[in-house]
Amino acid sequence: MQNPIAPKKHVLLLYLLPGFLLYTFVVVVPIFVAAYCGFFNWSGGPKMRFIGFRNYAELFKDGVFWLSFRNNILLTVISAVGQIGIAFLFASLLSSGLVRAKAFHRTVIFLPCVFSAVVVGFIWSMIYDYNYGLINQFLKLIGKGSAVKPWLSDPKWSLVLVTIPLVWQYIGYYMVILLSAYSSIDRSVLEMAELDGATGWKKAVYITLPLLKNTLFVCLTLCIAGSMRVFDNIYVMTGGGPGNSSSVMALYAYNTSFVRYRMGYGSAMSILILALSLLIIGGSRGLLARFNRKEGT
Amino acid sequence: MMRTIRKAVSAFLAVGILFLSACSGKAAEKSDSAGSGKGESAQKVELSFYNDYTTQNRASDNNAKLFYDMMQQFEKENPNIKLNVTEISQDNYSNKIQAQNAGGDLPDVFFLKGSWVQSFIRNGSVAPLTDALNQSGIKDKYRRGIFDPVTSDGKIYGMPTQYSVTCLVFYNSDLWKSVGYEQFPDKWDDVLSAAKKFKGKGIPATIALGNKDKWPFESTILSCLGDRFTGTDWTRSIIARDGKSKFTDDGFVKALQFSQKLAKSGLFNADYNAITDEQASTLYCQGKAAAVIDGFWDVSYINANASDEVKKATKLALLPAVEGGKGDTKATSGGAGWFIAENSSLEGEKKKAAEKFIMAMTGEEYSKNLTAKYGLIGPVNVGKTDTSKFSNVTQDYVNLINGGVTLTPIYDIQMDSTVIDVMNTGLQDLLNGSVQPADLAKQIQDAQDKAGAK
Repeated sequence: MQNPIAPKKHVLLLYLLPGFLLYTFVVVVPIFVAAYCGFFNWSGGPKMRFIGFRNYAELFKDGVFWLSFRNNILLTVISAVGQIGIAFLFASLLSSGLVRAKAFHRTVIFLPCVFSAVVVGFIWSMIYDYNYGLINQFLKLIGKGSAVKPWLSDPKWSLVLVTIPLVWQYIGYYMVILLSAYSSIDRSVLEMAELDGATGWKKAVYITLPLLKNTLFVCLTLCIAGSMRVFDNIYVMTGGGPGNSSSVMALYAYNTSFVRYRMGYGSAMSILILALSLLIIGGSRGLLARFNRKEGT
Repeated sequence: MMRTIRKAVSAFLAVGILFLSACSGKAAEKSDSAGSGKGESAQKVELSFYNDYTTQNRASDNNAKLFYDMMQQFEKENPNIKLNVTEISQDNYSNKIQAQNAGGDLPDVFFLKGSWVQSFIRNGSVAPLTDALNQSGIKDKYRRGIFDPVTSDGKIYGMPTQYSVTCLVFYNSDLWKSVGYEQFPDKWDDVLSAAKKFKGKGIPATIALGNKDKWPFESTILSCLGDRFTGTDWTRSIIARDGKSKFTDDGFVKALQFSQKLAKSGLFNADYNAITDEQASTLYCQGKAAAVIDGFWDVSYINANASDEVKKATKLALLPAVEGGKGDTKATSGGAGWFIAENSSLEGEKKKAAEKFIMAMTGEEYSKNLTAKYGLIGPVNVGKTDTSKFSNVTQDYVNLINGGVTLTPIYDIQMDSTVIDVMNTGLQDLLNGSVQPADLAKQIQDAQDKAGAK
């Protein structure tokens, strides 16, 4: 680093120190403490009984946990397709010049991700409400009154219904990331493509998409990470119910520790959630890297 | 050189500020508890007291308001006892007290929720109050069974601060009259046939239910309905975890089957698993439901939110009997949910002062004032009180309870927390038909087995 303008190494380290220390104490240390607590039978009081790997053994047989895991995966898939897919569509539209008032659209689409998850949860609970909700009122208006039902009470659809607000909330987030990626594409490449006859949809899929690949991978990683730890929206809308139909791992871990007072078991669960999330993210990146290489890019 | 030093200093200052801001909360607390620990002089005694009656709480909960008024009165009458009071909101209270218990640094006097008391007793954190109670001379006036959650080995470890009745039927007598019932039916078959008539009249719910938060059905209906089928001995055995009674026993399974039948018959509003307890009460207050089954807190809610028409027509009743049930038909679920406890490490003057304070706050005077000033029921049975200045709903409530109702334990105050959570979650599924009664009973029993013996 012979660059005279770049700061010296020890200066860099000093500036990074506060953030690094904070991160260590707030994120890394609790993970080790949780791993430790996972080996005990502990109900939150002063008595902790060492039981080795029994908590982990119980976890592997815990039907509710794996149901929650399955729900998280489903949620991730729907979010990835919905959030990133729709964000890509909007980003394409906004940067193609077909749409006027770009700044206005950008702001409005981005606005929901600034809202607190609890607020979004409550708004959508109201939309789904049986007596006064928008959906049922709309159905009654168009004459389909027989389709009216208490939406969030249906165990078959509760997970999908609870995912929709999540998708709605974060489209703007990914759209902004993709828009900035779009602006980094060289104009001349797109012009040449148009001269060759690739317009609209063809241009988006065959030209722009491959160029945005890296950004899309980043978006996917963020989406998976966010979907693995979703909690607030679901807590507010259904609390995991009815029964366990919309339960997700973070909710179940919270319930286990703070409602059922099984903190040892809950700690073990948190560690397993971390391990599973890292596995999924790592796995998806590995898959995409293989996909990259196959395409020969 | 100077620039490097300046940069180093600014970096450390930044880190220092971060840590100071993180630690400032702790420092403030430390000074609190340090101040109270030293008050051992013969003249003045200082007691640290933790409760969850925050200012916000006191504005809407009369139990809390009266407690604080009497506490200030106590301090005036006992100038040698100084109370260092810390109020924490109910949501955070559990975490705070449990953390202090884990750290061995509990305050001198503190509130405890009924369901935590046994684990505090096991840890040796709380002192027995049996002697103080016996000395008070009014031990027999306390409502039957109220000390069950805090009793261990024949000793009592907490004094009740309030009294909850969770299963009360609030019904709109005008609406029931219109389908031919002068009073709320005392047979379930009549309730179910009335439901059909109500539907015909366009009233969407016969009984309003809001089970989104999972606890309402279990706490306000099943705790009492279950008792109708199983009898109270079964419940006490489950609570004691002595293995004699199981959730897979006939009585409880029948209670689950009956609950499922009620839900299937359209007795409740269609969105019962999607709305909260309060929203269900609102349905009733708007006249859109013929009745609502809820706890004593609905007395104030209905007083505050119902239209005059609904309020005047509101009467109270007990849950109807079931055929062939073992339980007392004049019973309903009730008990004290919260207690006040004494730190087991107190001795001498501090111990005397703490016990004086505890007994004064939970004695006859508190219950008398509670009924006379606010129309609520307290832990001590004070006999007839003049309630004529209160609304008809309040009067009905006081008369019903004082008129000889037997109390059975409220499930979620005394059973193991995991068992209750499995039960609550499973009940949502049971009611909408996703799980069968026998299977749910087995799941709950599994949780009970895992919880082990007490």
